[in-house]
Amino acid sequence: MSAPRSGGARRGRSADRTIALVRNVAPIGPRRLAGTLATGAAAAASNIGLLATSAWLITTASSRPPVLALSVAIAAVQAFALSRGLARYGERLAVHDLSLDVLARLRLRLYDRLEPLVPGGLPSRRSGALLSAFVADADDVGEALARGVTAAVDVSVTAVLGVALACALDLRSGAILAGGIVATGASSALLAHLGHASVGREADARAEVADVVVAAVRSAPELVAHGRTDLVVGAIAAAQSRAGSAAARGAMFAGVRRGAGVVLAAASLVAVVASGLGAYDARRLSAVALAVLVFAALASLESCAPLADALASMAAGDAGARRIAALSELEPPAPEPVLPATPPGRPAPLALVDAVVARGGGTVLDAVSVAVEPGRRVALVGPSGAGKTTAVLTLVHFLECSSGRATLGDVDLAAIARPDLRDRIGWVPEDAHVFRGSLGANLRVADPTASDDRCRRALREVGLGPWLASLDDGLETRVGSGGRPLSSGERQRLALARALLGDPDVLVLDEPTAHLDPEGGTLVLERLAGPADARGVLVVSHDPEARRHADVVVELDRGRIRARGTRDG
Amino acid sequence: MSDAHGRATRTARAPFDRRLLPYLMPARFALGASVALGLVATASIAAQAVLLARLVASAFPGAPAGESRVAMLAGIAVAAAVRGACGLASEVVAQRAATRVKTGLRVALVARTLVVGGPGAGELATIAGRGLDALDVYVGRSLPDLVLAGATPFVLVAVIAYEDWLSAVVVLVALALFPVFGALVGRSAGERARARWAEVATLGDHLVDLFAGLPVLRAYGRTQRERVRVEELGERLRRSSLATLKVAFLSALVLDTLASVSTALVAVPIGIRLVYGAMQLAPGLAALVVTPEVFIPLRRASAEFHESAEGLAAAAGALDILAGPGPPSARRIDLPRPVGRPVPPHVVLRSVEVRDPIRRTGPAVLGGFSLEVAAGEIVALVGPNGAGKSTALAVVLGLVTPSSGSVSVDGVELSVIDRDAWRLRCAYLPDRPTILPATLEENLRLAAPSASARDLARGVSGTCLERLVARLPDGLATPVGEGGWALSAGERQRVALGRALLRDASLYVLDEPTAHLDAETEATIVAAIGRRLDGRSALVVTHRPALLEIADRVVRIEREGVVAVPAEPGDRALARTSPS
Repeated sequence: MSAPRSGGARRGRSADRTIALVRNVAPIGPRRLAGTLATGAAAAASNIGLLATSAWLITTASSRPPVLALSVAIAAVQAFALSRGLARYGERLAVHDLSLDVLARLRLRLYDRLEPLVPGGLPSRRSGALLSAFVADADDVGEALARGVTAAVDVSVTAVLGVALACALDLRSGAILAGGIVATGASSALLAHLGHASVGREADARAEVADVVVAAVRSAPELVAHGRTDLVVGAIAAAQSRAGSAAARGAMFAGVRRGAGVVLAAASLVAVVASGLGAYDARRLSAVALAVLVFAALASLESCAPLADALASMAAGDAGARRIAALSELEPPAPEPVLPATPPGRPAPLALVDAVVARGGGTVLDAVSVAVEPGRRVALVGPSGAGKTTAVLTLVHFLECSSGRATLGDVDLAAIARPDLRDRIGWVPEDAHVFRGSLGANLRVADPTASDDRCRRALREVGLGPWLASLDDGLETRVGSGGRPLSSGERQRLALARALLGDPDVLVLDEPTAHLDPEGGTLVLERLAGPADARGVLVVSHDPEARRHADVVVELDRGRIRARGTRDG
Repeated sequence: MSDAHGRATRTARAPFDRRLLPYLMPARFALGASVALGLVATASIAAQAVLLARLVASAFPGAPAGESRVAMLAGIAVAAAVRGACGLASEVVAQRAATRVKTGLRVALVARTLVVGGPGAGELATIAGRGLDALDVYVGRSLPDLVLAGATPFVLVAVIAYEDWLSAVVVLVALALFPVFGALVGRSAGERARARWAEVATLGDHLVDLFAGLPVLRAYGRTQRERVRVEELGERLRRSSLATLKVAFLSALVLDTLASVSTALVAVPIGIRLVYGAMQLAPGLAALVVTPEVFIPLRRASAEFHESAEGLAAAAGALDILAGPGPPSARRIDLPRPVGRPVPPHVVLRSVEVRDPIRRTGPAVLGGFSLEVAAGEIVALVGPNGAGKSTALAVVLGLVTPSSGSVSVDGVELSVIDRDAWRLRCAYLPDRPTILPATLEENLRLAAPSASARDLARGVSGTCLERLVARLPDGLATPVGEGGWALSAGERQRVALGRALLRDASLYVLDEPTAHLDAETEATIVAAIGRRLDGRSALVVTHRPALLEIADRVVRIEREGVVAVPAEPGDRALARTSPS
């Protein structure tokens, strides 16, 4: 939970990051933008038109002209009344269409940016949650864009039309109106900018409450059993009160923004009305024109009201935009080769030769050599933090060594294209993701062409045969989020079955038996080498059983090899 | 996730959940103030409109003389200042109300978990954590606006009626039409919108899922193939969101149109009556300006209803949990307080069955399970994944209340024993131990705050933590956990075990104390466990041969309700009377 998602204390200056990100990642075509602006303009124009023509109609009527002289105005009032609602409906749809389109493109770019960074290049270990959080960030950007564009279009169009109408009637009043609108908008922007840090602090305080509560609930059994619930009750109360005061400050900012908007708009209105009355007294303005001026000013100033909230909501999008933008600064830890080499003939040993790997500023692997020969089982053991997972990630080319080599046969892994590695090296991480979808689809990630029979066989090989038999829908059973809940053991076996379905030359397993009971673990370990015992297997484990099944045991300690032995030695 | 959404679509029908009422009580003054401020703001809007109309009318012939323009301008300014102040105050008050309600619900949820505990805690954590923040908009805005939508239109109609009663009739008719239109749109659109929202949620979950599985996709070289799916899902999500919005915005369209048409219907007759000299200009203008304001509270309430669906769903989730069965509140009797050396208890479980405390449906987590731990006996519990071993431990500690069967301690039913007193005699290592954001020493002392320095040192060496302590910059005083030094899974496990062993208990309940350990460390730790457990009762879940060796008896627990039978009783166990 460090670098890119860390707190909001050092947030950017203002909401312009959303716009910058959109401009860089998913630019909006001018025609598209013009179409959206046109619907917004129609809505805003109808709004001003309705109020101004109504005012004209009524004030003109008071001088008792023939009814016929009013008929055009009556029709116009009715037309504006209908067009206002329809145009607003159209505007909202156009704006959302635009922002949803940007969001779809943004997501795709996010996918492209994240792809070379996982699993080795992101700072957090719990990459699944982190990756989901990025999708939520993209959603925030889309939302901010929708609100921001709507408000911007409304304000600008209404302001321009209102000012133009006012200027046509009386230049001085028009200028005052323009000044008032600019002042109202600028104060909204300024206050949103000032409140920006408080929005960030509020979000952080909320996140803190959520974290404390989650931690409290998770730790409840242990704390209850030991009679120490006081430890978390106090922490929750403290976090809540911090969040409460952060929220109170945020509300104060929002309130000042809202209040200032209302007061400034009203002050501008009073100024325009006073100026209009002056012009009327000086015979520069007729009474009817005065009425139209006043009501046009009222409509344009009222349109400024949503601006403050829109600017504030763009600040939320900004935080997400910043995190997404920060991704482009991360180096892919194991880039794809530009000119891929021909992979070696089969079977080929997978090896680290004097590999040195640095992660997060420290050397995690220091001159480590491990070879997984075809048909051999290698156990990589060692205390936590010894660098076992780093060795695995280097062996499957998610990390690269800064010196030394990682090779398949005599070819550097770094020179082999990822699709060529797919059926050579099978990788099962400690907490492999189970996709939302059917059981079969989850297995076929490894081989889309696999038949149902092969899928079933793979499940049987990892001891999931009886479990599969107990499922009403067999391979069609929905698993993953929203599907059938899997125990951690079932999840792990499923990941193993997936790896077996790919029928790789070498299997690299990170803690394959951590969540399995001993009988199951032994069974799995025995079957991994495949029917012909031709497969090379590397098992990372704390489990003594894993040693027992291995031909070679390599013991890592603080990034170095401490001991190396065979099964008997 | 989709489950939460599914629930959202089921419960978001009514704008108010009656069960929320007790939690709104602490915020009643803030909510009342919110409504009052809204009414004052409405009054100032009406005042501003009427003054503006009079001001403009004063420029026309036939205006009543003697009205000071400056006074009217000042009045407009004052009305605006009042409205601005209301705006400021209502934000502050809304936030206060939301915080009160959220705090109340959160405290209730956490308190409940700390008493009832047990499985399903993950879902509860989500709801009690971020979930409740979705209530901000609902409590702070939607609820007051819902009340205001019922009151302010009529206040404004009264103002219009004072100026011109005929216009007021027109507006009233439009207002009466609103529920009719709303029902027409709502009935057809509501169902469709709900189905669509569910589809949008599903597609969204799907996309998130692909991102979360990106490492696996990359490992199998499938990222490009799935990129096409990301694109396709994104496109479907876009279309389906847009289709949903088309329907959702429809009610806004109806309201907008109704407001516009009412304005037109007010304006035109006023114009015609003016032509025939049937009315004065000032009231006509005032009626015209106030008319659109009548519909604004309605539109706001309807827009917020859509936005607050999420908050309502969160509240419903929390209220569902709070409505579940609480801890048995029967009269409690105290166990005799241990004096001097703790007396190992004799624990018996008979045909215990446990169901998920939150969902309360589905198969039993633990079915028909019986077990006996004699005083001073070490019982090892083995069995396949998902058989309910950890749940059995939670039952013994009284953390989980069985749905049927009985638990007794020294012949007394656990349900009538003071749980705190019982737990004072127990030490517990859960399957997923907790590291609190505190120093390593505080973490180790969690279960035994008054342990001596010597005991602490012995605990550190017994759980092979010396190397960790040596590595930490400030040794035992180094902050660990969230925000401090990150511990590996194995280290967390050993810290939690050290914590449990440091407690001078008479019953040790340990869940996989030597998982994640290498053989050498395991041997040391098993020895430490053996020393500590000597002469105490213990129930230990394990698969490790080394740990099974120190057990007096091994009990096997099978999946799916099979009654556990003692397996391969050890020599010491045979010497005891076997459980009946």
